[in-house]
Amino acid sequence: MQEYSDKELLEKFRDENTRSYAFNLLVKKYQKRLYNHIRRMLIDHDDTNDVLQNVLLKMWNNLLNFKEDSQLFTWLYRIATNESLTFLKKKRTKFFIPIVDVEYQLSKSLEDDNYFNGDEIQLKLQKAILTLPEKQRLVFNMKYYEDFKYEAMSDVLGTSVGALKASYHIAVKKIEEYVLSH
Amino acid sequence: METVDNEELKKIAPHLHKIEKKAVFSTPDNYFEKLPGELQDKINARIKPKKYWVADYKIAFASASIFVFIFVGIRYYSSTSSAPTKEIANSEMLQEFDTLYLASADEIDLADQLDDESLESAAQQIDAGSDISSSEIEDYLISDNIDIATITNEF
Repeated sequence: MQEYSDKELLEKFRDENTRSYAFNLLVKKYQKRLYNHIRRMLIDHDDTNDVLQNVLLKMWNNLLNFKEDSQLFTWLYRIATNESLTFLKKKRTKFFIPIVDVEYQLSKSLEDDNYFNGDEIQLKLQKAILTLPEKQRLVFNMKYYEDFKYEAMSDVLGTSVGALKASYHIAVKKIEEYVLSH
Repeated sequence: METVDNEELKKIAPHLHKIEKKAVFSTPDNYFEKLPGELQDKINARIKPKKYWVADYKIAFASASIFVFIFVGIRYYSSTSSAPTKEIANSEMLQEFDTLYLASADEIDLADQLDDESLESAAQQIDAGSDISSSEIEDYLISDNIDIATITNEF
């Protein structure tokens, strides 16, 4: 299959005759990265699936208005991040769960998750990550797992590069302490 | 502020650095193969009813407009054409009444309907309501040389 650039896919999407085709290609191009980004935040596959579908449907609805000031993947990550944070917020308010308990529940659900393939040390690492505040968790995942550049992270999260570096540094320290003490 | 890259990670978090980075989350079978199709179905399901609804709404609106237009037209036509019909009907009824009752009733019959008393009272009313006295009438008839027989025959 021919690999199109984002620019070419956007052009095809703007043409009504090739819109569905371009959308399919865009989904295939970004679905795995977006899925992993969301899944690391929400842990549960079904929740991740719901949020990912929302993100991609938002892409369908809003892509015609997308201005190419930023990169497409930055735009998609921003939507995915916002949707994930909104989902967690709704989960809390829906079940009247305090912030700490959501992360605790996610941590417990990891142990019974059929779609979690990690060994004991990986489970420990995921639990350590879940002790971090939401935004610190985002920063850690994007840097540690997805190898984002700070500048790109800054575009997605709307936070300064300096603040992101500091946040990542603190997150690493906390995880190291958790791994050592558990 | 200290920045963290791989070397620094090794320094500040040696235990974390030792943990292998690997994909720990999996998905149901063929999840990513099915997802684009599922999304396309959702998009089509969203678009088609909307299109149908828009088309249906347009048809309903057009039908309602035509209905209102026809209704107003009929009302207007009936309101403008019903008056002459009534007038014709009324004149026909009058003619029929005339033929049946008035034409068959001669002057004698009509006079018979009035008794003497009523005629007298009518004459008195005329006299009382009139400013012209009998002597004035008499003077007028004499001055214009009008024979009483002529008046009787003409009126």
